[in-house]
Amino acid sequence: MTVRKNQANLTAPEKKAFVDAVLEVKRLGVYDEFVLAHRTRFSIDMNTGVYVGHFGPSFLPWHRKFLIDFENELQKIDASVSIPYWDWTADNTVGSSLWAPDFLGGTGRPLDDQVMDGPFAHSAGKWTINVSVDSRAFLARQLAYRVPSLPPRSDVDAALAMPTYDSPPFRDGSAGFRSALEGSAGYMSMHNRVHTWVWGHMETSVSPNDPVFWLHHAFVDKLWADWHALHPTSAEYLPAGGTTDVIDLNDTMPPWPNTTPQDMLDHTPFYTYA
Amino acid sequence: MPRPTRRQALGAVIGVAASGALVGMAAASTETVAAEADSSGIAPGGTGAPGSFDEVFEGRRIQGTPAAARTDAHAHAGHAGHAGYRVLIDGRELPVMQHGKSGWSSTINHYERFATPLEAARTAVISLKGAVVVPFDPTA
Repeated sequence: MTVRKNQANLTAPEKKAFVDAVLEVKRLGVYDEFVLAHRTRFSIDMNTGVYVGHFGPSFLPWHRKFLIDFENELQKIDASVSIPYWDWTADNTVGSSLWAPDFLGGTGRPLDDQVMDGPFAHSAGKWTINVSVDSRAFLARQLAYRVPSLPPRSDVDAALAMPTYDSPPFRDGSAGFRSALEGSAGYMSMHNRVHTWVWGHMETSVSPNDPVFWLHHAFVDKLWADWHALHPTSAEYLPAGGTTDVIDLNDTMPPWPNTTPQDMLDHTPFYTYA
Repeated sequence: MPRPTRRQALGAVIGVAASGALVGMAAASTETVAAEADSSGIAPGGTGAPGSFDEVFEGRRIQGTPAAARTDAHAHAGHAGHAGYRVLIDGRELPVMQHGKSGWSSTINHYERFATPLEAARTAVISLKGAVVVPFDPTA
């Protein structure tokens, strides 16, 4: 059974096992398929106005499926590995052990935002950016550059207190938990703010190029599970059906041919959170 | 995930071409200062139809034109979806999109919203620190 743990509690061998599995998935070329899938989804969504992956209710089930698929690839390399989650309300500084050389490496150098230490530094030889929207072949970050702080716990608690999952028009700015958590009810907040705080690749449509993407989204996914536990009588997902240009509960979510939000409501067959 | 091997091969080719261009671009860039980010939580409002711009910002030439004014000489078949407004950084297209009243974004700054394409272009320049935008197939 897969148990996702808080990254702050990982042992040194657990960190190494995760990093090694990520590097192997990258070496096999599979990692870049995930980056490409994210870029393509973002691009199609934004040019059609049908928001499947972001800025709509299916933001949460789409990324839940995305992480499950990635975790499966990691487990083909090492069955003991799961995706850790990064509680950015607690580990909210540039000095967090998350950014140490034995895990994800640190912030980028001022010249070009290039990450210079850790296993994902370009100079370490195992992390070249292949799927991109610009010419940077190295992983780029500049922590706390664009926005000085990560979202506070009070913002998370305020989102968790909302009894409604989402509401019309079911896009950015809609009232409800999903939009508040995503950060599209106020740009520079919550999930969106974390991407912007990390900067570099995390700010772009190829954000999965930075492995912190998975730890960030594991926490976002955990918060969805936490929200459901707090509101057991609320509809777990909305809209239920009949909504034009929005992924309804039983609509399939591209690029997957058979996965609906309904299929993603219960995460416990796939993993649990510790 | 579906396996887009052809696209990966294409991306590799583009990456090689772009890294050659990077050398010249890095020399042209100047020191960057982070723009004051709006943390008020208020999404920028829609601005209707923005006009054209053409300026040098931190050493990079940025140009923007509404779709009606664009010249077909610059059109790429693969970027038909970005036809609403066209932004160039040093002559290379930065895909930008408008999202109703919530504003504009670009592929370089996808988790923010900007009041105008000009603001999106300037923020992309700040983000790139001398790197160049690279075209891609948005439907890959």
